[in-house]
Amino acid sequence: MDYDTVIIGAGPGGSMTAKTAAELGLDVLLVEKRPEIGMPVRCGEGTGIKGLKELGIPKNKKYIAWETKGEYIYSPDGKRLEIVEDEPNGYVLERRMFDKYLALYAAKAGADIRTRTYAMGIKRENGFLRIKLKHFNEVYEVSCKIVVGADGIEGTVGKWTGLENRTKLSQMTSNVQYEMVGLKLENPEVMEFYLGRKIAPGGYAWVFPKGEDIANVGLGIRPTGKDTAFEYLNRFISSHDYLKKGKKVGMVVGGVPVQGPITKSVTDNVLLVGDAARHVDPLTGGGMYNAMVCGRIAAKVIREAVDTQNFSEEFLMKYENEWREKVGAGLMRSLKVKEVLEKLSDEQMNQIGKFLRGMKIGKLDIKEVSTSLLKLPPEFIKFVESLL
Amino acid sequence: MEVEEYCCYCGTCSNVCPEKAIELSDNEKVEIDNNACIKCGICVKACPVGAIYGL
Ligand SMILES: Cc1cc2nc3c(=O)[nH]c(=O)nc-3n(C[C@H](O)[C@H](O)[C@H](O)COP(=O)(O)OP(=O)(O)OC[C@H]3O[C@@H](n4cnc5c(N)ncnc54)[C@H](O)[C@@H]3O)c2cc1C
Ligand code: SF4
Ligand code: SF4
Repeated sequence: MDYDTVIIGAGPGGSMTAKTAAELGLDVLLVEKRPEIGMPVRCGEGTGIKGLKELGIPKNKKYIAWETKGEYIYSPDGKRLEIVEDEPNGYVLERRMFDKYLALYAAKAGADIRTRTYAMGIKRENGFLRIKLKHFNEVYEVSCKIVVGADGIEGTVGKWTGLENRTKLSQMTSNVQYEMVGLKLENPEVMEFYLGRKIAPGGYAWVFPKGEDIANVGLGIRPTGKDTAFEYLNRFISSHDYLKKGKKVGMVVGGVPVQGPITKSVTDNVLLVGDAARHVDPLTGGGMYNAMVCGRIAAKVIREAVDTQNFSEEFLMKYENEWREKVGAGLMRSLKVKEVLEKLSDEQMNQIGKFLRGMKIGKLDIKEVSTSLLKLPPEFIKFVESLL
Repeated sequence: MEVEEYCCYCGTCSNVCPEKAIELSDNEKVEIDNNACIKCGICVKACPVGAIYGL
């Protein structure tokens, strides 16, 4: 047997799985099809400080571009709700460096890493697996006990092993973002969110600061109409003076599946982690933290499976049960709020904005950027429901 | 279905194709299996930059 586990995809989910599994003493191989881990970036790069701390990820200037203290959330009428704390609660990362460092931490813990190595298929053999890999023109196989599909939205491990992880068009957001410089940011310490059907139908526009005058300016839509996310973003930028004059120095394109987690994430010898299991938050589109948390759980269950030599679906369900316990309720709550929000007209959103501004929630203890919207008081949900 | 050269290899199209006819190749090129494709147009709509055509 070449490895206890082969992990496909060196995004945050895969690298965290590899790091934890190696720390637990397993023989680990992490493969990534890209020549350079972390490139190209497919992310707005915003995340919560608390989450990274919980995961034991060091505060390293190499991949933390900026700290933020809260959010401005704009309703369609342009009025905003300010949720700002005294102390920083969020990071805007340099994802290309973050992903690379996570892989580096995994390697330091003992995992083998092969980049420019493309997983082409999986064969079952006597209760184990053979993974077919391609490195430049060389095609070869490695054997392992468990494979982890941390292969993101384009992932094929699910397809090969009968785990359904495709997303409905109506549940996929289509996103484009520019990294921009030379912006006159009113408050470079907050992340800005813009809601509205005309701005970003089924999604939102964001301005995540990465410096005094640098920010990720992006937008996601539910792509059921005629215009692309690209066209919406260009219109959004040209309608805001403080963005219009900025210079675009980079571009990010990607999809975020907001359907909620997949119904089944394990089968014999196989686990799916991160975007491949749709662990991403359906309301905010934040997926890094969940991918890493679930990756950590996956590694622990793989350790137990190797110890007991039990690689059956039945045993691996432990992973599914544990991740559902950890993030499942949050994901389902987000899904619910998202389903309510997407039914609202711009006028109704304006009313909600007004209601919330009246509640003065500015001092609420909101620590996690990716979960902050969910921590709104229960009256909020009731109020929204009364509008429908 | 065909893909414009300006495709950014984000993989969104592959995730929504109901026929599983789209994959990103080893060098991250979008590969569409036109024998499996049913011309539903879902990938065309999903692409953030409008890089797929051929309906
Ligand atoms: C525009 C945009 C903005 C976003 N903004 C945020 C944000 O601000 N905050 C946040 O938390 N989340 C954000 N997200 C979501 C976040 O980027 C993802 O949830 C996160 O990257 C998921 O991590 P992952 O490890 O599951 O998958 P990925 O990061 O997608 O990693 C999957 C890896 O697998 C590799 N791979 C795939 N197939 C193979 C194969 N066959 N062989 C070898 N390797 C393979 C890929 O090359 C890739 O490197 C955003 C997403 C988008 C698209
Ligand atoms: S048109 Fe439909 S079936 Fe054909 S590749 Fe696109 S999504 Fe798949
Ligand atoms: S969705 Fe568009 S940009 Fe993304 S991989 Fe498919 S064709 Fe390329």
